[in-house]
Amino acid sequence: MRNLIILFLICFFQLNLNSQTNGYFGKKFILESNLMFYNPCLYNVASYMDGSENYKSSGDSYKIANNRLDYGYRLDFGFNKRRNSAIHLEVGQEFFSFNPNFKYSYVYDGFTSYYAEEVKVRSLSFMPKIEFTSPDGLLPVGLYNQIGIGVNYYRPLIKDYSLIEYGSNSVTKTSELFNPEFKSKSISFLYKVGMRIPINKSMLFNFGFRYLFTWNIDKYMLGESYAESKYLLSNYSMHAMINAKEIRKIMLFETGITFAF
Amino acid sequence: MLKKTIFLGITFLIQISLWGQIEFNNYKTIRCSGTIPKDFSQLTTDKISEDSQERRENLNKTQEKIFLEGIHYGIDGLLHSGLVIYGDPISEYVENIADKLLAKRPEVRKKLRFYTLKSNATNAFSTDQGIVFVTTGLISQLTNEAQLAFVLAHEISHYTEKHVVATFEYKTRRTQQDDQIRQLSTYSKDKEFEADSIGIKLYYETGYAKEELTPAFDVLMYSYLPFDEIEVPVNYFNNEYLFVPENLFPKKKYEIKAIENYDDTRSSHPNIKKRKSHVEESLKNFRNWGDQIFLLGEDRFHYIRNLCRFESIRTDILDANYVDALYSIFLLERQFPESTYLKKMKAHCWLGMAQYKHNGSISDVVERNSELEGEIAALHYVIKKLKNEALYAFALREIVDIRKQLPPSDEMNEIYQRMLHVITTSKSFDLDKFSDKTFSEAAEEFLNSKHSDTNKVEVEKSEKLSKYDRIKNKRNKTDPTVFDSTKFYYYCLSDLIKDTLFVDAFKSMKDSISQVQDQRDRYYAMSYKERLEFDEKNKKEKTFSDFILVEPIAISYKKGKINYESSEKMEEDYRSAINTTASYFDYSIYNLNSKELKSIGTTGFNERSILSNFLMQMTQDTEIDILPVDYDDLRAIKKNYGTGKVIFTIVEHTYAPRVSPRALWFIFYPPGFLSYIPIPFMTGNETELNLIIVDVEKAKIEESVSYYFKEPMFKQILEARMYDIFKNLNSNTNY
Repeated sequence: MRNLIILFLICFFQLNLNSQTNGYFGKKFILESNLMFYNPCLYNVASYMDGSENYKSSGDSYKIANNRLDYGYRLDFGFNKRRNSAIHLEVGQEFFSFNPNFKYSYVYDGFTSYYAEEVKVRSLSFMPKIEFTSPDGLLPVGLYNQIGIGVNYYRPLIKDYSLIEYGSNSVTKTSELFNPEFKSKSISFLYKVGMRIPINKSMLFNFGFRYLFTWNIDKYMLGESYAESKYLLSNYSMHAMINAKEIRKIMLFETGITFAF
Repeated sequence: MLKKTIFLGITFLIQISLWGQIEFNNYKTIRCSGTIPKDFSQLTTDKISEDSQERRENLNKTQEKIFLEGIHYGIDGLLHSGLVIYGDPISEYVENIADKLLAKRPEVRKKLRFYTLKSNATNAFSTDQGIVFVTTGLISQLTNEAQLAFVLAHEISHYTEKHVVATFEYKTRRTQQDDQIRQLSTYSKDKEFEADSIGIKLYYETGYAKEELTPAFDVLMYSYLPFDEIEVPVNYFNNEYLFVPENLFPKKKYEIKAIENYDDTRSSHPNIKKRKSHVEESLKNFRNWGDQIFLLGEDRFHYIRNLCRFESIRTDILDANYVDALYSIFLLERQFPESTYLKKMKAHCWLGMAQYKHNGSISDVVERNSELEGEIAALHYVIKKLKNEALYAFALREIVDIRKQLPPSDEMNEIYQRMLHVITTSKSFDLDKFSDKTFSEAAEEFLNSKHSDTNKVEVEKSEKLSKYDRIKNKRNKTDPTVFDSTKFYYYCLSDLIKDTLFVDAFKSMKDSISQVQDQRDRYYAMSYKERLEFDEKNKKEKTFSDFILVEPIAISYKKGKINYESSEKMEEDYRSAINTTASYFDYSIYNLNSKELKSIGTTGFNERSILSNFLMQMTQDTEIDILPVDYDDLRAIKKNYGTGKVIFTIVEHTYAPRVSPRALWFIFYPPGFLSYIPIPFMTGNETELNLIIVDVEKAKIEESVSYYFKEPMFKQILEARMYDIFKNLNSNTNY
């Protein structure tokens, strides 16, 4: 990560700020704040085909329901290097949940099998991006494409999770569903197509679609086995399940406001 | 008293004829005069809403909308094209004939308006709005007023019988102006016969002679030929310095191929023979024909026809039909040998032909052999046969001679300078090859040397020469034995070769062009970073401050057709974006557009037309540095506004998402299709923006910008684009 930031900073300061006039009304820097939404339909379909249902806690009870919406926000700082290309650095947080029963059928404590409620996860991501458009484009206005490589850090939400005993419907709470120290990271490859429409001389409305390919790069992929874990979900399982969720993102809709300065 | 009246009358007639003569000697293109008619100044949307009050029984609502939009936007486009004039002598003349034709039908007369269309097409057409357009090309082909009266009567009948609405093509919306004109002058065969019949009645009632009816169809049949058929003499180009051998002219005559009874099965119009027969049949319905050929006077007709013929030269030059213009000049020179205008236009033609030849596109100017017909063919043949250096020499000779004949003027100086530019940049033009003797001097010297004693010695010497020495001798122009009659053009600049002013000017221009070329080569050999530094150092001084903005055009397409409403809104946004953005840079913008005709008046409208015509001329071939035909008028515009920088711009937008057939591959991975779907919709906007800034004084494009981008059309986006354009105007270097 540190290397990536250094690389970005080197690129940034090597730019020729006196190059041909570009930017929006001559403004070469942009600050963008976006809200991001997506429907994990592919994940839900896969989950359904796996026969594992998604349980959501509802007070002392639970309900079975698919996750309809994951969301996040992003802050993006960019510099228009040329009329049709720019470099950006993006920082974002995403909130999603995964079904811990998916693919691994159920949670087993050595005596009893359970269904666990969905696990909420928060991810923090950093991504340097290159933005480009058609040769006659005038960034940041209009249609743009972005490609980027970034890293994501995941932390599950620590709370008492509901467990539903297999065969009965009794709900118990546990704080040992997963290791509270658990964290993970992945690398993402991004392609985004978006559009910025000017509102006034320094503000633009932005919307677009993000396509991400995320791959877990954490050491746990090779490490700890299920049997060694004292938690119901081993670190390895947590990783695998986050990865299963991330890899099934089809596309994310993003919208927000861009400030040019 | 009678004596006094006769004296006054004679004086008046002499004055009229003298005035007419002076007018043509110092001719200037016809302009609009008087107040702007409502047809020109009223907004198209207002016309449509006014016209939609009148219910057209045969049309449903959709058809009516398409019809009204089609005719109003189409005709308004034509009215504002810069080619239509009002309040001019030609339009007035046509109006006066219409007054005669419709003297007994004042209610019809009141509804009709007649305008002149500056076009060399032989055409007249009426519109559903009650506008009748008559082209200058038509009048220049006619032999008398009666023929024009019949054409007008025919067009009036199309209007009274509502033929436009009956033949309008609801399924196609024309985008090109030529197409629109063609559509408006195209009816079915039945409608043509009907218009002929009703037209004959009007014609008959007015008292015109029936003998002039059928010859009117000859005008139609031979309309593709020039307005007269006179042989170009083989010595036409010859003068003191220029000698053109006869063998440069075609040996055969090019026959005229037009026939009356052509196959009209695929044509909307019946053929000429059928129309003539139909007219002859209709004539039988009327008795006691009048014998009038010129109700408004023969002199007036000839005056108007000459105006149209002079205009036809200008139109040909605008359209880069230089050879056609040259032939028209040849025809008119017979009547107006001292006309300054004809001489200037001739210089324009030669310069234009030299520039096209230099650009390698002379075939755009001359007709193909298979298309040659009539006497004009000789000129096309000669020009086509001339090699590069021959044509340049011809052009230079003609331009130099005309420049000498006329009083000093900026226009002639500019033509001369541009001609010098052509020859100095041409690889095939080598001044050293040109002789300092005229053709006759060189020929005489050659003949003398053949018969002289010294020649015998020369011949003996020559016998002993090697092959290579002979070649060298032959290539040495100073050797009289190498006189070559096929290179007759090498002798046409003999006076210029001896003129140090000319030679110095030639050399100095050649040197400066080669210096610029060297600098350009060095610039393009630089790295990107070096260029940036070079650009920074050599930033242009601020040369732009005020602009004349001529009618920014915005076209919005929907499903491949023009969406008029959206185009109009986009045009308004675009105009406003340009004006707003210019104010950020303290640029003043003078708007010359059709939406503000009430405020700019007829003067503004004329200026707008001149500028539009200039643009039209430039777009014939953008690679050629064309000299505007209205050179003086453009300079007058600069003087009037205090700026010679004119912005012409057009923006076209369409939204057409295209799903690639490759998307079928997603059959193997259906979720991929979901991912793909937003992409065509996001990238479906296509916008093309073209803008040029022309310096009318230099008659050159100063800046040109062409953008193709995939953005939706919002006013703010247009503003951002304009900001970018204006901002970069003063930061560009000369390269």
